[in-house]
Amino acid sequence: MASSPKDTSRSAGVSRRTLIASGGALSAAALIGPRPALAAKPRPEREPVQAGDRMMLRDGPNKGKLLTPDMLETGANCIEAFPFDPASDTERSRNRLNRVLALRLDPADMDEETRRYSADGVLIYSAICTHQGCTIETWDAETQHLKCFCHLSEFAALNQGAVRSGPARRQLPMVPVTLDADGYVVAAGGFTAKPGGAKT
Amino acid sequence: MRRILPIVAAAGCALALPAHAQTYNAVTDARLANPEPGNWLQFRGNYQGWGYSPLDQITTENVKSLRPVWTYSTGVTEGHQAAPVVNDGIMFVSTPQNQVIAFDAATGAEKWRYVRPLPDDLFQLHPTNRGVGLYGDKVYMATVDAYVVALDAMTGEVVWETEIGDYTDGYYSTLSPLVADGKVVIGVSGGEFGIRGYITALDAETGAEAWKTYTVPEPGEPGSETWKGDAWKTGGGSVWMQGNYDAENKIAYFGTGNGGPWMPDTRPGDNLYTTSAVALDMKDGKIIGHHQYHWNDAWDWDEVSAPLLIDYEKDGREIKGLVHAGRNGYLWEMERSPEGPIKFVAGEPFVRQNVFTGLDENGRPSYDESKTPGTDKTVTFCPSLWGGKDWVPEAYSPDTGLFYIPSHENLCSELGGAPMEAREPGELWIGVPLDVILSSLRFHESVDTSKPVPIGKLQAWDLSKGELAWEHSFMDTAYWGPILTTKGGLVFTGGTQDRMFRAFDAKTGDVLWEFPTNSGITGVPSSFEVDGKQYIAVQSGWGVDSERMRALLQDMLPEGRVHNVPQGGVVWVFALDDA
Repeated sequence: MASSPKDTSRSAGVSRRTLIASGGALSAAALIGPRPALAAKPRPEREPVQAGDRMMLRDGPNKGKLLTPDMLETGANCIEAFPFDPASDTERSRNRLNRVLALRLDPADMDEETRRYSADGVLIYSAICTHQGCTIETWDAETQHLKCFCHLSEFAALNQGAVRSGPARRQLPMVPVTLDADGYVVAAGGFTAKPGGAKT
Repeated sequence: MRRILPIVAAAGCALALPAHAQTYNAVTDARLANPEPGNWLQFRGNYQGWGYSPLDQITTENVKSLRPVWTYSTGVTEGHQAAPVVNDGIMFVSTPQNQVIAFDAATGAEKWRYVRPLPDDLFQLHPTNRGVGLYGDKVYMATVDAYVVALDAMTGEVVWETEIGDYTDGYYSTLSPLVADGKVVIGVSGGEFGIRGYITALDAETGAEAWKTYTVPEPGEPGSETWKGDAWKTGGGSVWMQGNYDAENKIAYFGTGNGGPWMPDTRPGDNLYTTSAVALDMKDGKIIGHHQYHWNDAWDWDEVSAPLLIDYEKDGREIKGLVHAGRNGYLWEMERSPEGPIKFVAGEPFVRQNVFTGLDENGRPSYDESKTPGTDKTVTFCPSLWGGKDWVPEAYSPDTGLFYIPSHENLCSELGGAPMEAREPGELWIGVPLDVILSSLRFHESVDTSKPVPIGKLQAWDLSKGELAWEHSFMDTAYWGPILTTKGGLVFTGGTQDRMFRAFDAKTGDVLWEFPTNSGITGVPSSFEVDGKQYIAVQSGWGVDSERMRALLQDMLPEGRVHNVPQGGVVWVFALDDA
């Protein structure tokens, strides 16, 4: 090729040029809106899942309650949830990437790593497909796969969310969990991988 | 909601232009209304939406010698649906993830590339883009995070960008812009998220909003009598595809999507202007005419494509027509008028359709209730929820007088709704369980799967006679191939799982040439000329609904009959050696 192509992406071009044009970070942030150049520590409802978070169910008979293992029937279903910060009494639901699926499987069927991330059979997976960021809602009890409606990617719940079919290329991230003294399912750490869709 | 970002060009990171920098031939209303034969200035080549090239160097006689002259990997997967748009030797191609790449159209040398950094939390139900619009010295693209971005045609620098919707509330755009009369006209999708659809026009020079017209009226507006309660607030009516345009009378014609949520009992009434053709006054966006193809949709039959503007003779009368191959499986003929109102002329099924029991004198269908799903009511109906023809553009050739339809035959759906939870912004809100949709596809009861099944069907219709001139069936495969017709007597289309790009004899339907590409072709083909040589261009890159259908067919046909289609986009450009 005779010449080098120019990358005119917005991240490389617009925001910086806007900054230059407007002469300061404050006015640039005002123009750019919800994506500030320097992110302050997010408010608890936007913060990614943290160690110690409990899980607030968004669906099913225990909707609005904090998850305990007995709320899930083994192998039967997955239930939507968001992490809940007990310290600030806040559901972290203003960050779509925090949307998770709670399910319960027989630990004897899990691979070792998956079992290590589970608590009394409870597993917490990201509900955001790693393909194009769609919300996963479908549980296939026969294959024990989580299925994405959008483009039909399937992830093996017994095997750390490994891709089993479809266009996704990355495993579905998990939130490692344990049980706290009150019997609630709590996060032992953040996501095992970056949640969200791919850019290719 | 709308924000305009004024951009001041700066040197900084931009690399130098190539030494042979060209001047740019500005795109005007006059050029768009009467495009030069050697250029392909918009999605379907002309405002009428024909998908027709007046170039005739590549013919039925010599097409067998067609070969690739350059290719280019786009670097992304999913559905590559955009037409390569060409203005005086410069090609502009958009891809999934909202890239725009500019090329030297004859050599494939990249001039610049714009890559949109999409938000991390974006929910891409339809990761695709259907192409750019050109006007003046700018290139316009609507994005999946609900912006319109204007780029400098020679450098790719962002000139302005305007937010047209809130992606976190489920609004997004996949269509190519209609550009005319100093405005960039686009619409929003999101009917599966509980949005209320609209078409909006931005000033081509500044990005400022000129007008905004909802496809679902609010109480008190014309058409609002066809809604009850608050259903209009989440009534759908997505705008998936570029409108066509009557430049003489300055009227834009768009197709509209289905009502939302999917089940008809959630929004009783006819639900204007969903599943309709609408005529908009380009001056102010006012709806000055409409024809609703079917009322109170129950089948996910978005009528996404704008009707084609075709003048033809029927029953001894000259019709200034609007023609549309419906997702509802009917071929619709209508008549346009300088004032806007649309008059029904004729409608007849072009695939098996078992829902409509008849049309009245205005073209309003009556329904078989046993084929109409609802909440807690599951039924089987034909054609499937992907319809007789989905978004994939049909085409017209003024040389043959034929109207070409990329259709699906022998497919039906079994569908029923479930009671709905409250809407959550930015999340799916369909009213049909996802596992039901995922397993909804059925073959027509007459199909014997022990033999190859005709599924894809390219049809050529004689509008004057109202009859099928020829058809070509594709066996055991989905067919999502947009159509190009040429003065050389050819019809080009891909769309099948065998990755082929094919040329048909436009008069007879004979296959004259085929070539296996890298992936399945769901891109809109175009044709252009540089230095006296005719080229055919198309993107190959399988994904989105073509892959959804393929995956379901794989489970419906015996093992080994439906193969995987590899993903990853490539721009292909073909020509004759000795031209």
